[in-house]
Formats: sequence, C-alpha cells, structure tokens
Amino acid sequence: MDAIDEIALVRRCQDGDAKAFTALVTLYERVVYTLALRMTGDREDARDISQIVFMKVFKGLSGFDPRRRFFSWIYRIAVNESIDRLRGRRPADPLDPQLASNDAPEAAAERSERASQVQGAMLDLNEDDRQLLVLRHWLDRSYAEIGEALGIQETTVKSRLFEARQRLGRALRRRGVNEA
Amino acid sequence: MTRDEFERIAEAVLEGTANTREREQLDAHVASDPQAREIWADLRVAHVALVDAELEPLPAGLRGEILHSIRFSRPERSSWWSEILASFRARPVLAYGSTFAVGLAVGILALGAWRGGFEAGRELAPSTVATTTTPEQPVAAAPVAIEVGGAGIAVSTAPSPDGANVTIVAQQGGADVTLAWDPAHYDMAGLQGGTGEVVATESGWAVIRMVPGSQWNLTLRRSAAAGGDVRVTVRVGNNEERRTIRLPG
Repeated sequence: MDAIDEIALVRRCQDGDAKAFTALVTLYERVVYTLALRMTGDREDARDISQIVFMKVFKGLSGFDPRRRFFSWIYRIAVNESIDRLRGRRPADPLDPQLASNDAPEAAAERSERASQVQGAMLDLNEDDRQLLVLRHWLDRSYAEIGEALGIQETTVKSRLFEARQRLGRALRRRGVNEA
Repeated sequence: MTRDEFERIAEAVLEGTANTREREQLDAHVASDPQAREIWADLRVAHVALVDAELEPLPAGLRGEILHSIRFSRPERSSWWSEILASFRARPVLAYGSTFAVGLAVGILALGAWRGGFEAGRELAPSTVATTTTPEQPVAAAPVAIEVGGAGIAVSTAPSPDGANVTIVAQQGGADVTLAWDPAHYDMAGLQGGTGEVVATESGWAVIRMVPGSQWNLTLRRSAAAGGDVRVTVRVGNNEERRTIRLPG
C-alpha cells in the first residue's frame, strides 16, 4: 500500500469506518507483533502489547495528523509499550530466549536452536540496537523510514546499524555461534 | 582504510554489492588489522544469523482479540464526535439550519475535536492500560471453568467425525467470550446458541455475547493435520481471563 492509500485509510478510520480500522489492523498487526516480540522476547507479552497498541491507536486516531507517516506513529506507540513492559518486569523474571523453539518438530530442531540463539543474543543488546535491527531485518524498512521512525539522520542510521550488527555478532559468538 | 570506508565496504560486501576491487581492499585491511578482523568476524556471524532469521507466525486469533478489545473500549470523546457527524450526514437539514445554529454547532464541534484530540494524545502515555488481564495459564484439557468479574463460563470440547465441537455455557452471569483458533487447522462449520448474540465472526475467531444461562456450540471442521488449540477470552467490563484449551483429535 502506498502512502496516499494509507492516508485515505486513516481518514476513513477517523470518520468511524469500522472496516477501515479492521484493514489497518490487518496491515499493521505483523509489524506491531514482530516488534513487540523481538523487543520483549516473550510471545504472551507481544500478544498483550499488540492489543494495547491498537487500542491506543484507536483512541488516538482522532488526534492523529494524516500528513504524518502512520508507520512512525504506530511504531512509537509499540516501542514505548514494549519498553514499558520490559521495565515493568521484576528483575527475577527471566526473559524467554527460547523463541521459535516450542513445538518445533525434530527435523527443524537445528533451525529452532539457531532462532533461539539469535533471540537470546538480541536480548543481550540494548533497546536502541534491538530497535534498529528489528526495523531493518525483520520489518524490512529503508534507512529513510528508520531515520524517520527514530528521529535520526539516514547516515546516523547506517552507522548505528553497523555497530548494532557488530554487537549482535559478538553476542552470538559468545554463545558459541559461528558462521555456518 | 578509514573507519567510514571500512563500514561502507563491509556493508557492500555483506549485501553482495561490492566490486572485486572493494573485496580485495577489505581482505587486505582485515588481514593487516587484528581489530578489523574481529569486527569483520562479528559482522559476518550477525549477517548470516539475520538472513536466516524468520518471521514468527502471528498467533491464532490475534486480530480477533485486537478488534474485540477495541469494540469494548470506544473512546467517549470521539464517539460523541462521530455520532454528531453521523447525524449531520443522515439528516442534512440540520446542517442547513439557521446561521446561528450552524455557527454554534461548528463551535461545539471544534471544541469537541480539540478536546478529543487532547484526550487521545493523553491516552498515548505508555502506562495507560484499560483492561485487567490475569496471567496466561498453560494449555489445559477441557472441561475448563473460567471465572471473571462475577461471571462463570464453562468450556468443554468433544471430538466429531471431521473436527471438534466446543460448547460454552454461561453458568453464572453474562460475559463477552472470544474464541480463537488457527484457521490453517480448522474452519468454522457452525455456531449455534439459544440466547445472547454473535457479535462478530471471521476466519479464525468469533465473539459471542453470553447472557446468564446461555449455551453456544461452535463446530470446527478440521482442514489440516489433527491437533490444535482454541483460545478462550472471557471479558466482563474491564476484566478478562484467558485460557488455551487443547482440542481433541
């Protein structure tokens, strides 16, 4: 969907069109869920956060300026909610580094193990690094879009991504992962 | 090689856009600089891991839960605003009334819109959570009794020749019940009940408004391999309770 279609969709939502809101949820549920999952490392938290984010979007839509990029707005809500959830955890609550490992069939065990290691390494990173990597590699956003969402220059995005990848690689190697 | 050049060429090599000369430059730099060698090793490990990383499938029924929670948490200000706008659309004569009336209405609407926007903006504070949800329980075998906000909902399951049946009974009080399942595994073949109403259904989920004593039966037809769960969310006011129940078969 291009930006003009999205603006039209947001305007329809603002006019109280329930179908348009369902379309907006359909369009962004994966973005919100994936972001929340990679930020918190917990499926149940990601599920709850997804609900809360769309509730806040719904309540805030009347005040949203459609000339702004919707992605940047919903992204900020989702990331704040994820960080809030992480900070609300008691120190004793372990993060779940076992993403993608439950119910995995035996044939996929190795792949699942790798996915767990990646998620574990992601959780070793700080929130800024995690955001950058999720935006670029899981949500497939351009440098310009990432810059807009995070409020930084495109050149800064590139250089921070470089460092975030480097730190992710180091965290993976600490966990015994090498190139395969 | 400067740090900026190293970043640019390393990125190009990893993304497969570097030319031969750049690749040779990088190899030479990495061979002569131990620090660059370490960084390059980190980057390659991260690159392989990120390329391999897959998107997690969305949980079954997520969209239904989102839409359900929104349905019962409409913002007062914007509803009021929407209703007034809707009444103008339905009865244009209102909009063509006296100049004074229109001016007054526009003034009120502008104030309402401003206040609505303000309220909406405030809602974006990350600590605002409207619903109290108890922690998720592990997957259970039916029958299951769910109690929340004075309501008691019993859920049982039974195998059928081509899938499973789920029976929901409001043993005490009324509640909104969302049933969500994986549409890749089951199609809804039927949803029958005595009293209460079906609020919404879509592929993978249904929302039923249960009144005291009402009983509903959900018939699921298996479309993929056996197994799967049904996720039940019972909501009363701002309280909700969830259970994931293993389906038979």
